[in-house]
Amino acid sequence: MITELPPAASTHYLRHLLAAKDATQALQIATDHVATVLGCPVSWAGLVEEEHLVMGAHHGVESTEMAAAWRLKVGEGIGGRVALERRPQMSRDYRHDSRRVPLLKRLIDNEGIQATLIVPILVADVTLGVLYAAHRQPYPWTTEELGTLEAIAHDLGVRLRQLDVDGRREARAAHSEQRAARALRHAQASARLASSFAQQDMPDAALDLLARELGCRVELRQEDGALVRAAGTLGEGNPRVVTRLRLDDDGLLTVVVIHTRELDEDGRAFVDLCVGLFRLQLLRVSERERTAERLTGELVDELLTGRVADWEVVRARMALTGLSVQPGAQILVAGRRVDGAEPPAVELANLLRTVSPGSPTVERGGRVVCVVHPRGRSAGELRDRLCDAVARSRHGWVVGIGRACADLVDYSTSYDEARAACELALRGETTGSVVTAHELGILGMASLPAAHLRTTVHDVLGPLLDLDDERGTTFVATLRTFLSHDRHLPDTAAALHVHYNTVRNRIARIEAVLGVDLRNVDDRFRLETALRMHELSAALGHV
Amino acid sequence: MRLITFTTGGETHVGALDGDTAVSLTRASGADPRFASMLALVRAGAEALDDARELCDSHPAEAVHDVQEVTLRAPLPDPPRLRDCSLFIEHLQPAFRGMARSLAAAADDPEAEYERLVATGKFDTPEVFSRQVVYYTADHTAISGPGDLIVAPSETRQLDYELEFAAVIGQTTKDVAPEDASGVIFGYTIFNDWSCRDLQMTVMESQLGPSRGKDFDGSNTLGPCIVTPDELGSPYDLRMEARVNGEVWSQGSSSTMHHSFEDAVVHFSRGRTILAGDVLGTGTVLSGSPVEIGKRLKDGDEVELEVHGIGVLRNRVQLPY
Repeated sequence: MITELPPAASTHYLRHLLAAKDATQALQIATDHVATVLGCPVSWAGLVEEEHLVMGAHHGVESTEMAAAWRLKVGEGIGGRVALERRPQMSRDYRHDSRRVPLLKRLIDNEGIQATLIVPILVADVTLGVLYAAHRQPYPWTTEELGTLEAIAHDLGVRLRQLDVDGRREARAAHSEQRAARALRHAQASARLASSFAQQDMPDAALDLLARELGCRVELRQEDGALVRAAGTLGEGNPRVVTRLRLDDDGLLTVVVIHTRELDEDGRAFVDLCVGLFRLQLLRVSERERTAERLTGELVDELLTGRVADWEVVRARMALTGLSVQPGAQILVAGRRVDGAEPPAVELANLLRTVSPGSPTVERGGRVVCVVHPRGRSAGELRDRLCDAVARSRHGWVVGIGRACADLVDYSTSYDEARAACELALRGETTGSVVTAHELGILGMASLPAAHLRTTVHDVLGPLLDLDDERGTTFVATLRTFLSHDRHLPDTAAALHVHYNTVRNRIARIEAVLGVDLRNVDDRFRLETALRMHELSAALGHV
Repeated sequence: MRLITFTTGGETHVGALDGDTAVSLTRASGADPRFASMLALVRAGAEALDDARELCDSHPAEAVHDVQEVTLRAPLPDPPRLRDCSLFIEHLQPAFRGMARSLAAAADDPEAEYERLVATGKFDTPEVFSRQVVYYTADHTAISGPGDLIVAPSETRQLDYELEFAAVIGQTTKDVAPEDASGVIFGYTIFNDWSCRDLQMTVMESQLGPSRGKDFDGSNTLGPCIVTPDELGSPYDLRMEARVNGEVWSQGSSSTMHHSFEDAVVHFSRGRTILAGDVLGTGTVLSGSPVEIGKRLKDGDEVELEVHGIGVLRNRVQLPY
C-alpha cells in the first residue's frame, strides 16, 4: 500500500540524502523513507562487505538481536540472491518460504516479520547492498510498490557512490598516489643514472650503474650470444629476461636485462627508459672512443703491431666500440698509384662502404688500412667485390689483402701480408689491382724481420746481386722471369725482349755463379723463395 | 591443485599455487612430515592430498607468500626414478635425420654424405617404437628447476632443448591393470630433456642409449608445478609451445601422443614395481627440438617451454661455444 504523500516528499527525501554526511545517515534516511512511502512498519538495508551483506541501517526493528546479528552471505537466502543476481525478490508469506537461511529465519520470526520486498542497491553493474520493506503479516506486494522501492534504492545508490561507500574512490586515489610516488622514484632514479653517466666514460662502469639502478642482472652480449660483460646480482625469485635490446643497427651488441619479478607497465617503462639511457651512453662513449681511435689509431695500432699486453682488454674494447671480434676478419692495405686531391682515407672509406659496410679504416704509413669482416662471404667473394669497386672508382687504387684471422693475434700477420701485397702491387710487380698475400706466395714471409729477409736473400742470391750491382747486368731479373715462365727459354726471351741464346747463356752463367742446377727442384725452391723475399724486402724498403 | 616446491628465507617449502600466491603446506600444516617434501606428499597418498586441499582453503596468514617473492624450485627435486619414454614417436624420424644432417655437414660433399648416412638405415625410426613404450633411464639426480641456469658440458657444441611433459606416479605398486592405470598418476609437470646432440650422435653408435649426450648436471628440468589430474583434466589435448628469447620455435599438441601414460604405467608395472614419485617423460613432441627444425641455441638464450594447463618452464643456457 503506497501512502498518499505530497509530491514534495520525494524532494524532501532527496534533500535529506544529499545532506547525509556518511553512508549510515544515507541508509537511515532511505529506510525511514521506505517505511513512510510504502506504509510498512519495518525496513532495513544491508551493505555488501566483501562476501557478506551486513546491517547498514534499519527502521522499525524491535529486537536488538536483529539489529546486531543480521548478516547474510551474498548468494544465500532471499536477500543474498538479490545481491548476487541484481534483481528484486518478494515474499508474500515468509513462514512458507523455502529460500530462507536457518539462522536468519529465527531472527526474522522473532521480529514477527511475515512479508518482505527486497531490491538491490545498484550503481551500474555493481551491487552496493540490498533494501528491504517488510510487514508483520502476510502481504501481497504490488508492482507499483516494487517500482517505488526500486526508485528509492536507485537514489540511495547514487548517493552511496558519492559517499564512496565501498571505498572504491579511496582505493583508486590510493592507487594513483602509489603510482605517482613510483613515477617520482623512477624519474629521480633516471635522473640519477643520467647524471652518473655524464660523469664517467667507462662502458663497464655504465653497465654497473645500470644494474644498480634496476636492481637486477644486466648482460652485454655479442651477436653470437657470447657474453662481453655482466653486472648486478639476482635476489630471491625466478629469473626471467625482461628486456633484450640491440644497441646498434648491425646487432653486434645486445643488452639483456634479467629480473626476478614480472614487471608491470610502470616497471617496464622504467626499465626501457634506463636501458635507453644506457644505449645513449654507450653510443656517446663509443663514438668518443671511435673519434679518439681515428685520431690516434691506438687500438688499431695495437692490433696491427701485435704489441698487446692483454688480449681480453682489447677484445672488450673492440666489442664496445662496435668492431667485430668474430673469426674471419681480414686486413686490407690500400694505396694509390696516382695522387688525387681527395684525402685517400675518406675516398677509400667511401669505396669500402659499398663492399663491407661499417668497416673501420685508419691511415698508417701513408697507406689506408681497413679491417673487414666477411659476414658469411667467402674470401673469393670479398676479392671480387673489391675488384669491382676498385675498377669503378677509377682512381688507381691498389689493395693488398692479408690472411683471414682466426683470432686477434693473427691481425698483425694479416696486416704485414696485406701491406707487403699492396707494396708489391704498387711497384707493378703483380698483375691486377687487388692482390692477396696468398696469390703472391708470401704467406708467412711478410712478418719476418728485415734482417732475416736480407740474410736469406744474400745467402742464396748474393753473388748474383753483386754482379748486377757491379756490372749493371740483369741476372736477377733474368732468373725471376725464367722461373716464372716455367724455365721456358723462348717465352723468357720474349718477355725480356732478348735473343733466345742470350737467355741460355745467362742461365748457364747464373748456374755457375750460384753453384745451382735449375733442373733440381730443391734449388729452384730456394731460388723462388729468395726471389720473393728479395721483392718483399725491396717493396717494404728493407734494401 | 598446482603443487610447488619453493624456497624463501633459506627454507624449503612444499606448497600450492593459488593465483598470485604460494601457500606453504609445510608451514600451514605445522611442519607435518607429510608436507616436508614433495616426495613425502606423493608417498603419503590420497588422504594427504585431501588434507592439502583443506589447508589451501584455510591456512594461517604466515603460510601465504607472494609467488613473486619466492623462488620456485623443481617441484619434485628427488624423484626415485626418471624414465624418459617415447610416447610421441613422430619426433624421432626428423630428429634422427637432423642428426644425420649435422654429421654430414663436416664432409666435403654434405648432401652426398647425408644421402649415404640415410641409406644406411641407421637414421630411420625402428618399428619397435610404435609397438611398445620404449624408454631410457635418465639420471634422476640431475634435476634442475624453473629459472635454473643450464650449464652445458664444456665439450659440447650443440645443446638442444626438448619440449616434453611428464607424469608423476602416485603409488608404489605393481601389475597395474589398464583400467586402474590412470588412478596411480599423481600429477603432471613440464619436462625439458636437455640434449647435447653432438655427444649424443657420437655415442649412439654404441646402441647403449644417449649416455653422456643427455647426462650432465641439471640436464633434466622439471616444473614449474605439478598439476593434479582433477585440476588438469585430460592430459591428451594440451597445446605445447617452445619459445627462444620470446620467439616461437616449436609448437605441438599432446593429442599426437602415440602411447598414453596409462600404457606406460601398465608396461612398466608388469611384474615389476613402480614407485611413488617415479617420473615418466613423454619424449619430445614433433618439431619440439632445434635439431629437427635446423636451429641452434646461442649462449645466454632464454628457453621457455609452455604446456597449457600446466604453465611455463623458463631457463637460460650457458654454452661453451
